[in-house]
Amino acid sequence: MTTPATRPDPVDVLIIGAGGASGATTAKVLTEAGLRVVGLERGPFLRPEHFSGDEIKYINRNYLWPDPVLNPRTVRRDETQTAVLEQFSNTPHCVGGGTIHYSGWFPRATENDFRMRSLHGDVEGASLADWPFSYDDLEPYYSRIEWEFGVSGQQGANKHEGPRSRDYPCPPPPVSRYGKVFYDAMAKLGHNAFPMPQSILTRPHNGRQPSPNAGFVQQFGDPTDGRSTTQRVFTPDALATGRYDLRTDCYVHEITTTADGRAKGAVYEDSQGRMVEQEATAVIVCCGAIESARLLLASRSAHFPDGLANNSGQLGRNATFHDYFFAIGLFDRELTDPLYGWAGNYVNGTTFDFYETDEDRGGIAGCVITASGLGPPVNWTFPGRPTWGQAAKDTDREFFNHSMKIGVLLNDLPRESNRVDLDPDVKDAWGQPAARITHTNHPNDVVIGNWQVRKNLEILDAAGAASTIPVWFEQAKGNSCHQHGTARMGNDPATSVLDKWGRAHDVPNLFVLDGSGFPTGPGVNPTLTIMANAWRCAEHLVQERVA
Amino acid sequence: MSTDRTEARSGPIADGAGQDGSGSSSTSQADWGVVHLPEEGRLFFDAHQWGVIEAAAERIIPADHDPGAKDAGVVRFIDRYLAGHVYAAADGNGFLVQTGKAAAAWAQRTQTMQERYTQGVSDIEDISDRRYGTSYIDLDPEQQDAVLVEVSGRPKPSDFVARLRAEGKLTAQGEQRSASGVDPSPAEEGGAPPSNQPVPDDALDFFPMLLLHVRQGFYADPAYGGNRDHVGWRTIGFPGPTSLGQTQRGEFSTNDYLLPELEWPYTDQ
Repeated sequence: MTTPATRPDPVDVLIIGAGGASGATTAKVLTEAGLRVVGLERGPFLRPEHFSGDEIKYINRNYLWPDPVLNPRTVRRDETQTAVLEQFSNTPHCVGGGTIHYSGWFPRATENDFRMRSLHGDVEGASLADWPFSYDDLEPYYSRIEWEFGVSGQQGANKHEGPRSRDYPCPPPPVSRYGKVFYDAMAKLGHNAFPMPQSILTRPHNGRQPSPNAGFVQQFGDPTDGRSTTQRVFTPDALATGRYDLRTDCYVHEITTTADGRAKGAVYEDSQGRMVEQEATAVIVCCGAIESARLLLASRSAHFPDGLANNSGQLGRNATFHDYFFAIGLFDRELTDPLYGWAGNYVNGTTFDFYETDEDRGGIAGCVITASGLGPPVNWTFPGRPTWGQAAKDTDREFFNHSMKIGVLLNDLPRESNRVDLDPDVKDAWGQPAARITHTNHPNDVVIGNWQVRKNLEILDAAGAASTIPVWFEQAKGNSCHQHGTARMGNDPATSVLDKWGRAHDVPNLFVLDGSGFPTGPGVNPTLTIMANAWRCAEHLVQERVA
Repeated sequence: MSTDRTEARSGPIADGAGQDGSGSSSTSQADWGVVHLPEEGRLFFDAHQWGVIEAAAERIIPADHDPGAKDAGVVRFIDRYLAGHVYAAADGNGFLVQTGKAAAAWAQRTQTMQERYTQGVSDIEDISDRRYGTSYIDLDPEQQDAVLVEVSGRPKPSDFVARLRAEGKLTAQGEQRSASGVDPSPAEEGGAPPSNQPVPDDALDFFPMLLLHVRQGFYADPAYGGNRDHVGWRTIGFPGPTSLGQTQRGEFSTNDYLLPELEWPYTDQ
């Protein structure tokens, strides 16, 4: 490591990965409580005016996603294989992080998501663990985040939702035409369906204007007020306190430690290539479950030869990543009005009817599903689509406005062998070891995922699709952008990395407040739960400090 | 931190901030400058390569009662990309000038793709010469298709819509629809994978790379040089914004294509 050229004055708290869902939430809570905080964000401070409805830029050319040449990751199925380069589980490196590219699905986890081990006991080949707290403990923070973010939703519509202390602040967005088709089919089949809660404003909220529903949502940065991001909501709150020093384009090489095994600060490379060491009373890591594990594992010292906060040997293990696949319906333009799959906010209808365990499906747990279009013009496609010539053009013309899909968000079970560690050979553009992902889905994932694809085909058939096309688990090409579990929270330091407040069992002033701490991933999009838990833990840190 | 963009309007290919040391020294993505490209002229292809790719693109998306790839200006879209112009400015007015590590990474990818195209054009011409004794540009459409079939190593895609009709899945008006049915076997064709996560294009062989870029050039925002006058979007019925600037200003909406009058549970069933 290069000797740091600069050592700014120590501060109360250093947040690494300050831009994203957990980092910005933590920065807001701590600075508003009076703490002096430095935030390090490896990416740039992109503003809404940097964004527009440019499909090529966002979906095909990685304007937001990490450049795979600069930020390589490697993937292998098991420990016998050599990992190969793969752009795995992308989330943007910039202020706002995952909230910049997400389409803002904002469901709460269910009560059972917090007690999967109690419900199912030992499942062979899986490492289910209960959370060290319950839905009820998190509920007040769910409400706070929902109201800060102006979440849209339909109160009482999801009959599987846990108790709520407050209604949604905004009503649901207008239903889409493909959404209407989905709702009709679900009603026909006797299922409960409702609008997915989304962090997209449908009416003015806290001085921000509602979304114009431009339709450029999934993977796009939003130039308007409409989508709530930490860039737009929590980072400005933290900066407004005058106690927040947010340093962007700063890449952390290592978390440093003191001789007595406490976190001292971090050494980072700033945007000019200068090495800086920032010290703090407490260090909070919020880089996402892959990058947080990578940074901790790379921060070795005499005190922590296997990586920081890894006395249990559990750091990096039990990773869950979700996955996304679907069933596609093509509709007859003579019989069905256009579905306009590109209109509105990417997703519309959802259901939790298949989410809780029903052993008749052949396994445990279950998946949330969502109706959506097949994508904007360039990336609209389906397996079997002719790729060139008159056949290709005819197919595009026939079905671009007469197609939809029902997606499956795979609720994958944790396994100790599914893990993040350091690749022994591949290094990133800063000379640091790449994250290596070792991952094989539990057989339950395959059974439940494909059961759900089959169910989604039935729904599309009931909806009147002319032709239905499955994309099975085996065809899915690559995870989602969700990451959890690499630094489990738990009460036992032998089997978990963090305590129930996100504090490392081994390092009393080190915290990890992103999805790394989830003992068993919820099957829903994790952002709301990540933010709610970060708020809960940050608040506890403040209270403990005062006490 | 400034988000002002340094606009260089003096020449057809001028550097933005940070390139020549005259502007900001920031290499942050937030500070990338903007370059304005000429409306006409070639940037990467020579005239012959331009002609071959333009002719091949027209066979990939042929004109019929709607315009094809040639009318859409797809070859210009590809030429700009291969010349290293990757991202349109947010308002669609010019292209971003990358700096720092990102610029180096893109230079590496761009070089790979340039080499693939140069070799690909050469292969197309070799096959044309061997089969027909002349340049691909001078072949008739059937001959051009035969060359592409050889380049791709696969048959020309068959008529998918007609197949669905023959199977009774699509109807003529007034006919009864038969059951939808499910084909459980994974399909072979389809271009991009069935995922929200497209493969990096620089990893593709020449022919799939060409297919992808032609599709992109037909359907991408016209700011990139293709989809001229929105001909691609009009072909498939996508209303699209008048410009990227319209979306950047928050003035584009799809509300006319939604059903705002309906309330949950949205169904009479």
